[in-house]
Amino acid sequence: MKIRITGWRAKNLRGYLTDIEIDLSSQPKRWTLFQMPNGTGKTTTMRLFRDALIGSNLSADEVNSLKADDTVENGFFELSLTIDDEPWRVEMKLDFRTGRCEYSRTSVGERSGGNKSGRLPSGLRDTLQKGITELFVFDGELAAEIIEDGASRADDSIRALYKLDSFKELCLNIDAQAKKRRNNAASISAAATKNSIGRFTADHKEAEDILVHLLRNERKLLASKAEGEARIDELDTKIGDLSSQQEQYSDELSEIKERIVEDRSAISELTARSTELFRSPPLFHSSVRDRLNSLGGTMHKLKLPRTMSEEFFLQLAEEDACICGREIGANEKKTITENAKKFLGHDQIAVVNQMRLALRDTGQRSETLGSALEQLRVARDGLQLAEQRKLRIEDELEEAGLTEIGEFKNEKAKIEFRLEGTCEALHQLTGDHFDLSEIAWQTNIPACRREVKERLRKRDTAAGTYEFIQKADALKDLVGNVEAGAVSRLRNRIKIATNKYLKNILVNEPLRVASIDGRLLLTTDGLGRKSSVSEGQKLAVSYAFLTALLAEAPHEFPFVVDSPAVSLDVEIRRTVGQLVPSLFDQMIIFVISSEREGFADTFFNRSESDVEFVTISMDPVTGRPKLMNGKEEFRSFHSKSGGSA
Amino acid sequence: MSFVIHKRARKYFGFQDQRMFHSTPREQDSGRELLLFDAYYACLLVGTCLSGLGREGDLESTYFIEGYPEPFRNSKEFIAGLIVEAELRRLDTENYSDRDFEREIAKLLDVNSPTRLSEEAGIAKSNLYAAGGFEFISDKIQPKPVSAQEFLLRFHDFWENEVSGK
Repeated sequence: MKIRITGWRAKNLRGYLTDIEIDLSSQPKRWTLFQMPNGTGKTTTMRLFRDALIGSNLSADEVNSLKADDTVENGFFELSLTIDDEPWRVEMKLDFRTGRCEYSRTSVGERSGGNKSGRLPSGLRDTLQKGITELFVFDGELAAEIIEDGASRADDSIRALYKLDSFKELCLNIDAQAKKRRNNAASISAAATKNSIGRFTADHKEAEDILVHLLRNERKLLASKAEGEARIDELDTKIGDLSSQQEQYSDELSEIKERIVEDRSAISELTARSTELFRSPPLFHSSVRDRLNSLGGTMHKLKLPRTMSEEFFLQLAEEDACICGREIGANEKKTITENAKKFLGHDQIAVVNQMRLALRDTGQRSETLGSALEQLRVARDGLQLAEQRKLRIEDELEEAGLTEIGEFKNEKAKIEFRLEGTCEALHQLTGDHFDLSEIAWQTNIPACRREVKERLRKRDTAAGTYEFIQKADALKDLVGNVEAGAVSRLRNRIKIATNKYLKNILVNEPLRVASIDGRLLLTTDGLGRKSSVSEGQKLAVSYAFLTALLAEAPHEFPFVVDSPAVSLDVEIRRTVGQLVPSLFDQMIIFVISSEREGFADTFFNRSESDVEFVTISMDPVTGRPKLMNGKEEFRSFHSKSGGSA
Repeated sequence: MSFVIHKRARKYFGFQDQRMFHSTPREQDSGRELLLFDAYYACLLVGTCLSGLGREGDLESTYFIEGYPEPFRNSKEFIAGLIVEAELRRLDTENYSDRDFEREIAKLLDVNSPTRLSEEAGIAKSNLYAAGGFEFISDKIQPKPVSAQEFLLRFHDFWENEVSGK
């Protein structure tokens, strides 16, 4: 299919589109350059091109954002093009009161004929789907998305242009056929068969649900594992950094900690010994010993015990008569016994004597509480000094930001413990265990897949569709393989072509595409990945990719581009200006005056039959667009119109 | 009746959950911890040395231990001797006859008691001396000690400076 844009008309829309008619003729020149100041409608034109071709559904806000001013109630945009040399027109009628956009199309060719409402026919729209149209009516954001992390724009573009999605559609069709066959088989089976099919279908559904559940668990575990591993890497880096800084402190710190342990143990020992001495009065203090020693002397001074002790009177009370000859009756006996208690007995004296003996024994011990406490005091002061030194070192560590190392190590140990559990759970869940008798299929993905397959086989066998389903599956595998092969080969082919263009555009820079995997992965040495590139490099890469893509595309498209060189260095502009135009049979290029140097001026020497120069400006008096054709006007139009803004 | 401690002594010595100075970390060997009787004994030492008898009304309503705890078993004669010595010194200031002295000492001792002190007079006197000693300690040793080790050091210093010379 060959598509050419032959002109456009607009009324009551933004910028120069307030009232304009551009006619590029039915045989447009190969290159048409439109020079316009910023803010006069370039981006709007690009967007309307895409909408007209795709047949986009515009929201009320989108419709209203197009209107020239608040006085207008409706407007229109009409794009003229040829498709395989047949003239087509797509008209968009915009009603600003209702915020609606209606499409109609006109063709004089065989495909459509006459004026019809609606968008382009679906066959054409399939070729002009969004993913493709954005390539040739070039969307500036595409340049970034092609190489952006996590994006799949490069692959999407390849898939769209080469219609690789039709493989997926084919697989869906195969699935639909299989389903239809199953349903048919079920509907024409006998009641008994229907019952068994129903049972097998329910069984299969049950296994499939469990498989979905297991796969969800697997995703969760994998995410948790990845998160844990990433955190461990992060912690290892931190611990490594801190450890090397900490080394200088570690010897001193371990020495002081050892000293503290020793001092604490000595203090505990000395406290125990001091307590023991404290509990013995004569060892507690010499003054107490002196007091106890003096007790014997005091007793002596008081003439205690007396010659007549308690025992003397108790014996006397037992006699019939006193030594004076007087009789001792019951009354006398009672009085003598009671009063005997007032005299010290031998056993009471024995208490004092036992004390004096014990006192003599303790006198053999040279150690006193005072000396033990002196040692305790020294040990305590030593401990205080050691603890102060430890605090000082820890302060220094904290100042150096090194105290977190312990926390990091603890956190790492906890994560490692958790990770071990996660890995174990993953192994249980995903491992293809040889002895499946030990593992229930409800808890293991490979076993569950086998169960799903087995139940499906039973169901299909019961329905008599087993062979058909087997063939359908084989076909799907085949389609999948073909698709994967096609993607792989196309990626490689486009990578080689892109690098060929890049080599011409970035003559002095080694920036190349290393591979295509959803997006373009760039390299400067063919090995390492390069993640950051300048705006100019980004644009150069995307031009190279686009030209590689479109140059080998199965259809011929025009290439429409807005401000293509504004962020490129003059040298690169020149290369782009010389290289890119030769790749397309029709190019429509919107530029601002600052892009003349290095880019637009490369067209000045090209044949007039191939290049059309158009300058559009807004008349400051009438406020209407002014159209000027010709190289001279183009060349002389400058920044006084705001063109370099 | 057995050993009774001053009403404020438990709080002063941080006795809680059956531990002296309870806010300090426990010793690995619990046998090394100070006992409430250690506090009582320290008070008794001071009370007997300074002949300071406390008031009956300052004592707790019930005894905290009956007889000596094991670590004090070998000190029973000394403690009895300290009380007798203190009493002799105290009574020496009064107009007592030798017979009166003998009578008072005989009241204090009881060889059949494990403490060597008679329950009625000996231990009662011991409790009053301990109460008197506590008043002095709690007045002079401030702020109150918070650990066994600190108590031993400060009590010994206190003894040297405030008690033994008097």
